[in-house]
Amino acid sequence: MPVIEFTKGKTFFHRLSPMQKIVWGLIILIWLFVTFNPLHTLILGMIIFAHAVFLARIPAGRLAKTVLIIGVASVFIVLFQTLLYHGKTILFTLGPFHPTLEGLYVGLAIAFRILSIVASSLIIARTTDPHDIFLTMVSIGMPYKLAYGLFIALRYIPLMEYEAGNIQSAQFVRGIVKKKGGGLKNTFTQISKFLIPFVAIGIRRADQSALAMEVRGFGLYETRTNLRELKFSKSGWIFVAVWAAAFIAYNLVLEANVFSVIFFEPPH
Amino acid sequence: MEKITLQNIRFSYTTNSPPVIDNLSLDFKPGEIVLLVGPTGSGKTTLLQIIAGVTPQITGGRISGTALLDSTDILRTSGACRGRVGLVLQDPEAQLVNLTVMDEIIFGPENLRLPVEEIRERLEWTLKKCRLEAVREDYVYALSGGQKQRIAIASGLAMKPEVLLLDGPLTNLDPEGAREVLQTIYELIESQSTQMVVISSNKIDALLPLATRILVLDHGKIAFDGKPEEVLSLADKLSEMGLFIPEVVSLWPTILNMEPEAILPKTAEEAAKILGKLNPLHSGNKMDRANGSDYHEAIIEVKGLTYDYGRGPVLSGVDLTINKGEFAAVVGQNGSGKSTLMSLITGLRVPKTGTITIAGKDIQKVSPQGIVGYVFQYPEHQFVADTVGKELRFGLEERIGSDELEWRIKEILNLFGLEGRENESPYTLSVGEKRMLSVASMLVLRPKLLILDEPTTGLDRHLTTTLMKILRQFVEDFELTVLQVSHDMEQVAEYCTKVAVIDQGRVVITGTPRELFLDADVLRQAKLYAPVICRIAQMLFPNDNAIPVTVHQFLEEVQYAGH
Repeated sequence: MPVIEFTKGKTFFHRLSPMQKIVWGLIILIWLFVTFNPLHTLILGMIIFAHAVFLARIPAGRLAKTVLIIGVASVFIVLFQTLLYHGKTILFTLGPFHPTLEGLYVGLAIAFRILSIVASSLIIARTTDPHDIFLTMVSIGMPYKLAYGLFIALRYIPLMEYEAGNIQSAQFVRGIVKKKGGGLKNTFTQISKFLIPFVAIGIRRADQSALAMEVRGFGLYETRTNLRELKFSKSGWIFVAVWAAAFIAYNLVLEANVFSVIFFEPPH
Repeated sequence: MEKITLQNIRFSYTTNSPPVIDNLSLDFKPGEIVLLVGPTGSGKTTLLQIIAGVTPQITGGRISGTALLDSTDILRTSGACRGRVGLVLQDPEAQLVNLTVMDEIIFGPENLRLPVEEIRERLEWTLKKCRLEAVREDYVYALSGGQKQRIAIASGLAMKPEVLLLDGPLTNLDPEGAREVLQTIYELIESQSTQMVVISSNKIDALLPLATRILVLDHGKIAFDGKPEEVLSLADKLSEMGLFIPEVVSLWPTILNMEPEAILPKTAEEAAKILGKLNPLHSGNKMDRANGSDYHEAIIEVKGLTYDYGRGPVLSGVDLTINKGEFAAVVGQNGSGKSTLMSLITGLRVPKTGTITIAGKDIQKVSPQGIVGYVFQYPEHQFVADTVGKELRFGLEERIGSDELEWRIKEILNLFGLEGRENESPYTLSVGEKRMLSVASMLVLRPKLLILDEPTTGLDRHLTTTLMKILRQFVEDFELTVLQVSHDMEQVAEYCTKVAVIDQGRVVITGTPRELFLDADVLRQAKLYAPVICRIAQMLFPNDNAIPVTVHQFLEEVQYAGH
């Protein structure tokens, strides 16, 4: 089981409202984008990781695995930046390439940035009941028909996983084995063989779902009753405020001013 | 006063396509519990959707005629049926659109903008009525088929509709799941929480005890309509149409012959009571049944098989031998490990411990691909080509010469009634044809062993019989061995030479269907039920261990003293 899915629990993060978590996520996002120092992004990443383990109770091993699977691209980013970034301090020469220390720094900063974003998103995804996200969206004025559409997609993820597995098994039995090589054409043929049944089944189910919602009065009126209420304490905002304060302090102390990034050229 | 009135309803999907509902006029009265039956493709689902006000409004299509709910025009009033007519669709998986059971049940009432207190009341009432209190906070996708179907019914019920329409509520369920759903429908009708119920299902035997009226559709027209006794007295005609006649009803002509005043029995107990008075004698050829095993050479040998998905064992030490030429079935509840066992035998998964030998070869060393065919539960999962012809040719071209290929394709198309359909897309075939194609595409490869996962689900009697006969023919002509997963005990009794019961990851009994049906302990443990005819025979001949298990055997072997 991946750690992406929402899992019921009573951790600190479970008790935060979706809105508080979204604001927290945004602070982290901005913070990561104004920071070019790989050491700083690494420290920030480790703090987020600690939040995930201690405040959201996500098992550390599985978290690391998921983060790395999703963030595997970051390895290439480090490599490419090191090789291609025009820096001053040349580390060594490798044919036409002159890897630089500056490039390595930029690469590492971007890599840690990606991993940190993935980790913080995982915390939010795992601790936020999709139904609460739906209610939050409606409470800030999104039409419920649109919000429900997004929410329903989540309901079908496990079913789609199951179906994808079934199709692959069925096709394996029929002799379709993932062949290596064969170029782009082979890859395309194999993907289309899988996608046609997958999409055909999906379309039929979407039809049925639409019908099932219709007979139960979905969309009949402009508004609907919501039995569940968003019940979250306001004290979660203290946590968000602490992060905001830390972010402002960081900018003041290190002069990596957020405004300079947004309005001026970044320093080289 | 009629609740629903339909007049001259005619419906087709496009202007040029043949009508699905053909000039149909009928009405339903409050208090009726109507059982809607008809062969595959007779228009049952369309009829329910018209009454629910979604066809053609949502699904599209062309309609003419009048449909009234009380005095409201269903076809011309937008949202006329919302909240008043509840429709539970056939596929519970597609219609459960929320994450938790509770959210699913309150979905309809919330859409109707009911006050919070009212919704809360209805939630509790529905949970209790459908016995879902224990799972109220659970995720719907993690529940069993029977539970999902009950949630679908519950969410229809929470709308407190005046009319409740159930489309195939017993399809795809194991015997225990079907029993749960049936129980829910019974309680619902008893509590009179709706004025009228229409149930579309071909499982007449299960629903017979509660129906006040049976409506038979054929090609979009009413074939028969009336009280159960009246309609079922035409059992032969229903059977010709491709319907499954309840086993208990098939004894009725015999009963009437001797007791012209008898009332139609609806349950095994009622039938046994009537027949018991007629001094029945069983004179079967018991020798035949004693040595049932003509099969000696093993094709599948499974030893000490275990498997788990990391959440406790699914299979814990399975031993199973199936001999060449057998027509075998694996039965057991959903979640008992049947599908896992099948995927291990096919080589789709690798066992944790234990060995699987197929045709003398350990499949971990020699892949069973090419020897073993597998027909999946949903035909669409296994389609790989864009036409029926290519679908059948797939994997065959590399194996045999073009002359034989063409000959084989022609033969298989004829056998499965798919002649002239070669250039059609597999996805545009009807449900029955899709199933036929999925089996055909395996049999054309002439496998030594064919595994089928619930192959007859949703098929009417004609298609089931055709499919089973073809399989038997391949068993005789090409030394095929058949291993099917089934929930249908009548079908197992009729066609299988061997049956293995799986319960909680173990094979608890292997034997002939009769041996299983006589073993009350195993049936209870695995939550299985013997066919009705077999239960009647057991009540009549309690000490007989060669009792008839099919209607055919019963009619042939049971005599009545003095008649």
